[in-house]
Amino acid sequence: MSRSLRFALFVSIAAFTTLTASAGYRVENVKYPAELRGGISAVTFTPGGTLVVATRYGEIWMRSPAGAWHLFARGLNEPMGVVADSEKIIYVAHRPELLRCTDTDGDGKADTFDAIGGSFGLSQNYHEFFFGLRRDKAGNFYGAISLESTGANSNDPSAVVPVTPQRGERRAANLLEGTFHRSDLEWRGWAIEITADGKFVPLANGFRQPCGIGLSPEGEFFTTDNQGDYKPSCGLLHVAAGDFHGHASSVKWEPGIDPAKITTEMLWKRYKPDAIVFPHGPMGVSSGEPTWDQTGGEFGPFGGQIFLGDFTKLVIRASLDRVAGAWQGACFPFLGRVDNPAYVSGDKLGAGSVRSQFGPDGALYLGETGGWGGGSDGLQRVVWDGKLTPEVRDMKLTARGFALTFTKPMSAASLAKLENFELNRFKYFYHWKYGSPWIDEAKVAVKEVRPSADGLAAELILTDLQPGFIYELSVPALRTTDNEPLANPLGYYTANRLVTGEIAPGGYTRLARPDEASLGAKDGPEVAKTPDAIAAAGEKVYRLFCVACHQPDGRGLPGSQVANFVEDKTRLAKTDALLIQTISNGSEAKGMPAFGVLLSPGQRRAVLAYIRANFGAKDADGPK
Amino acid sequence: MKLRLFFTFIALGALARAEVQIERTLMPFDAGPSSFAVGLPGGVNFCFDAVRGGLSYAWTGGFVDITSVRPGMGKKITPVTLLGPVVYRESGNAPLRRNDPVHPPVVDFKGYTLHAATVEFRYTIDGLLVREEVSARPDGTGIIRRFTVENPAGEKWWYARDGQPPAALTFESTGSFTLAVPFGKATP
Repeated sequence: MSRSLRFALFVSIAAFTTLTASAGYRVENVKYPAELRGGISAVTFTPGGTLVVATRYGEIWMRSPAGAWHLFARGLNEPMGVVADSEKIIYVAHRPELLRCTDTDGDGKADTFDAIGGSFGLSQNYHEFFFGLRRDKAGNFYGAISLESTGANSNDPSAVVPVTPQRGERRAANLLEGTFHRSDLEWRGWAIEITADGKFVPLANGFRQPCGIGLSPEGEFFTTDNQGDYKPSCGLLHVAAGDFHGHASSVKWEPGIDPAKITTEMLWKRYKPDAIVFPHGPMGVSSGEPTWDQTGGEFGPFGGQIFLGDFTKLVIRASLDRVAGAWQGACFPFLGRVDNPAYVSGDKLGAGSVRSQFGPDGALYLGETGGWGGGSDGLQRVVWDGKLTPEVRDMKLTARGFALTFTKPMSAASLAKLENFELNRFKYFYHWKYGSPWIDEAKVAVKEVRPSADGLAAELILTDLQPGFIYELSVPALRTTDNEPLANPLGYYTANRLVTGEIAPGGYTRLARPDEASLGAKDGPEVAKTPDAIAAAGEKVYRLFCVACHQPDGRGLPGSQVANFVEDKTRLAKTDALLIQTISNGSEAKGMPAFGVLLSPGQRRAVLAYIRANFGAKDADGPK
Repeated sequence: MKLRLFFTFIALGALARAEVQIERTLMPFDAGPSSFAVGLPGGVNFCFDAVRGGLSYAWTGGFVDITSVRPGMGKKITPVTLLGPVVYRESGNAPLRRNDPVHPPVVDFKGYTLHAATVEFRYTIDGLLVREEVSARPDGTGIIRRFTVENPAGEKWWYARDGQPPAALTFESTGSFTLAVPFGKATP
């Protein structure tokens, strides 16, 4: 998307928020007792409609349909998922195992705790989460075991995971590993099944921080994973036995593997790309738990689609597309980014959303936790008020391009203009580094638009449709028959394959060429040099890579450690050299990635210029 | 005066605790990951290490300060602080042994149940289910561990601490055996 179009998109959203008065969704804070404290890390409902919430403080709380809260269990170790059989039996994925918590005497408190399964490595590393939890119709449980953190945000390959008392085998083979996250203990970085009779089954590997586990209505296993080393962006991954999903470290636990013989190219050829990429920046930075809209229309016109929170102030909407036998699809912003937009009423959307579930009332419940370098504690529900919000309802691949559907009829005049449909595509690097710049970025010409007679659909015919790219759709100029702009005129389609079955090796990723192998992207001949070009480049970088945490107004996520450039004048009261150093190396303590891996020197200078121009002071050393 | 206030605090803490408390957490003294901090009514507390396979140490008075591992502590978590002096410690891998007093068995943790004043742990020793109920002596000077084994006939059981010869365990007529853990001199 061009800079002018990105700006137009931003202005369009901002204008829409002030000029129109319709709503569609209402955000409501769900009140809970002060003793619950927040840190919500799991949300579900019993068949009887009782809300069940687990917290990172190790507690399980229940709220009856009548609204009364009580503490069901405590003393657990950072639970990250729950399945509720009833008000008396709750299954919990917490750090050490899958635990069944039972209230045998009916006093409302669990008294018997049975370890159902979980034969994976465990130590005292703070980052050893057991993400979950889903159960299929046969009673088998699904979850994922996170990698350990080295605690070293550097490029020092000798950084190691501290050796502490442990459970399970430790195998510290340095298998093409970077230094950020590792699988030193067995089965870390694997998606797993625990059968109904307690058998532990490692299914697939290559995961980094698969925070959000989901089963589709058909019972297929999906998880989200988070951007980082070997992970160019967050995304939704379809998991099947034997898959490899990108991160090198967990491969060592495959039977018969010889780490010494593994190469990056070998891994890339095995790599099962994400079904739906959530491009880092515009689609958040840390995605949570996917949940399918099975409300039968109670949540609006997106039945069957997926909703999930991101750790930044964002709720994502995603739609799977079965293409030539494999899952891929599209994602769209749903809520967030702009405070109090016209199509959203009620309370301000919180950050820190890692868990989402639909309730028996047809509302989307969001569990939010602080404490990971950002985010805020809270529990919210999102309710549809029955008014249709103008949106791209869906984006599917066709033989010639993309089929779009809309929630409201688009005007014939608006659909007739080719220039109202902008498509851009890009790839990512597959490498050990943290994240990836957008590469091979190019505009894709729309040759023809074929609208439906009712204005609710349009097929975009492209001049050049190729597999192995993420396609960015930008349609801020589209208008409904009532002259409304779209609430979220942005979407991303992950085209790993075409309908013919044609695929690109590595999906939307490729290996770096030798001349691209240096730290970070290199400045090309088009590096911005004039003030206008630098401002344009800086605005683009900020909007893609910085806005999710630092926010459009530069004030940072509320309640987080993210720099508030506007109110904390010390943040920019440093020299350009020091700030460029911070941008390049990041801050482990504050959860800021090292953007020296992702951005060229020119891009880093440009974004600093943008930040200074919009939010703060000049270089503390004065003009040079 | 300070000493009197200290003991008043401990006594109030002990009286205030009416039920068993549990925290699966990061415990000090090289305890295994996700060990149990267990607080019994009366101010008797102990660390049960499911990885090592047994009770590792005990302390009296207050329970634990868990602030150091709470959400928000990021990557600098450190073991919890015990709110009282350690009065018992033991080491050695999987001290409860079935038939072979020398070689550590395979311990598989199965769960626990909270009762009014006791806690029951369940685990298998070389595949055989053991139920261990832990309670405090009424005067708070020690811990009583009562083990119940399914089908003990013909089995010999031992308890092996590091630095001590394995002690043979004798079944009572009920099919259980009891291990008394008297507290010693308090250590920091």
